[in-house]
Amino acid sequence: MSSPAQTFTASSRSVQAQARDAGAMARRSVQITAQLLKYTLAPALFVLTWEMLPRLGIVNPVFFPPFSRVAQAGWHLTVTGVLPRNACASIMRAVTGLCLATVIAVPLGMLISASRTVSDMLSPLLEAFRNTAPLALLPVITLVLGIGEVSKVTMVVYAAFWPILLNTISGVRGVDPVIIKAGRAMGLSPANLLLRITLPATLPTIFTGVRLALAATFLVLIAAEMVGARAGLGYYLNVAQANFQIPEMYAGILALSGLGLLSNGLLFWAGVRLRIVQWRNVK
Amino acid sequence: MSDIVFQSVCKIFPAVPARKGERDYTVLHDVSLNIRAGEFMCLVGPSGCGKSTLLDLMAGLDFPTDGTILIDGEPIKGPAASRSVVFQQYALMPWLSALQNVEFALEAAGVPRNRRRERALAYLRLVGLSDFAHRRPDQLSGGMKQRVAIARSLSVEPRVLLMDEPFGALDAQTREGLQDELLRLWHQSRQTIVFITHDIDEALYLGQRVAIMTRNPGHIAEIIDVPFSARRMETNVRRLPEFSALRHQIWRKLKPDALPPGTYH
Repeated sequence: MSSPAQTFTASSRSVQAQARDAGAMARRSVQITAQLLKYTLAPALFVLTWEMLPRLGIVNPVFFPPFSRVAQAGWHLTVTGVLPRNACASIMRAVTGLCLATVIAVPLGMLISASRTVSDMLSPLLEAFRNTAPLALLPVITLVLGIGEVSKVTMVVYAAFWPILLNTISGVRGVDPVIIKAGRAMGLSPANLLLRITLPATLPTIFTGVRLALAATFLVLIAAEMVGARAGLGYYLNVAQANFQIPEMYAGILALSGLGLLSNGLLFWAGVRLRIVQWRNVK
Repeated sequence: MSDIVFQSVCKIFPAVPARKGERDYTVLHDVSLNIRAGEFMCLVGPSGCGKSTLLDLMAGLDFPTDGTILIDGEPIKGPAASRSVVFQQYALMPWLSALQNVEFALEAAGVPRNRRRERALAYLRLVGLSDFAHRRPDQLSGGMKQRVAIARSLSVEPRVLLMDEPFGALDAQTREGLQDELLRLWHQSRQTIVFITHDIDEALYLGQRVAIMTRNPGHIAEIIDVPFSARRMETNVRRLPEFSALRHQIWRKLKPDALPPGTYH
């Protein structure tokens, strides 16, 4: 039983609720637009400047072609398969190198940090290696291994190895001693302590190491490909420059930064999915 | 049910050779103690009196320099699932959910896979955390984390529960709640509990007996029988005159230790 007055209040309330919902939706879309603007504004301005400066003659369009010319060249290179082929060559080397480096550095780092004495003994050597720019080894590696795939992958392994190794070591040192103690009290064997407690507790730090290694990987790979290669983005950049294909050269650079962004994003996404990053960040 | 017997136990940490002038440090000197099976024994003492070392020795994480510790007549050879430890800092694995943390301990204790889930859930229910089984430690409050740690320790159904200042990091209200809960659990299971604390009230509220430890070197100064321990479930023993009397007695025993040497008292 409802009196007309009650019906009236009820319906007016629902009208109010609808109005509230509509208001909330409007606010929400404004928020989304604002967010979108916040993140696209700077890149948009950058592209605009890039486009305008050569067109207005402020910079030399021969050396700095406008963005639209570069985009055109990039599209052409993509369709003809030049860019994908070279990118593929680079990606293969990067992935192989990074994976090899991880597979070697993580167990080695765990082993080194298992003993304080060993890690103290090795630390001056590790510091020296870490502070030697990997590119300094490029002539050596070229000398010994030539200019084939092996030498390029070796360069990547070397460059990616150090951040992963050092992060693994510092990660193991940073493991909360009380969870190790808890594991010991549960009667876990030393091997199980390492695999079931130390390793998972160190994963977030190792993961950070891999992300650092990724940046190092591209840096070294491009340089190695410039020195001597028959494919790869580094090789292509050099060739384009030598042939005075300036827009093509810029397109290659753009492809490289895109590749970097993509791989870093992929890695981060994988980290979140595997729950490696999350618990660390919340902490 | 287990009884634990300390026979003139000494623990000396040797001096680090590199540090000149440092001498061997005697943490525990001639500790003899008899913890009865099924007893709730509290160890109270100031920091540095060796009470945590005593617990490490019982857990099998460390070994006495001299003397022996017998559990059911057998010397301790190392950690065992029959002795479970609860730490002040919870010591939960941060990457595992509450449920997985309990299952981890069950796996370590050799419980077959198909029985772990059910048993872990049962013990989380026991500490009132059924609804939080899938949360990770960083999504739980301090009190909840310690409940998970207690559930984890109880789940392996140990004969001895060793607790190292388990409620030391919690606020007063949460602490009192967990104290009552622990008493309830103990009344059901009647395991041997060795509970370490620096809080005299907590020791008196929980223990059937309270061992008072003093330092330099760490030893057991006195063991007090708590006369009102049996009445705990029905009366608020904290209000009893005997409670204050005993608290004062322990306090006086600990007082010279709590103050820096040379202070007038």
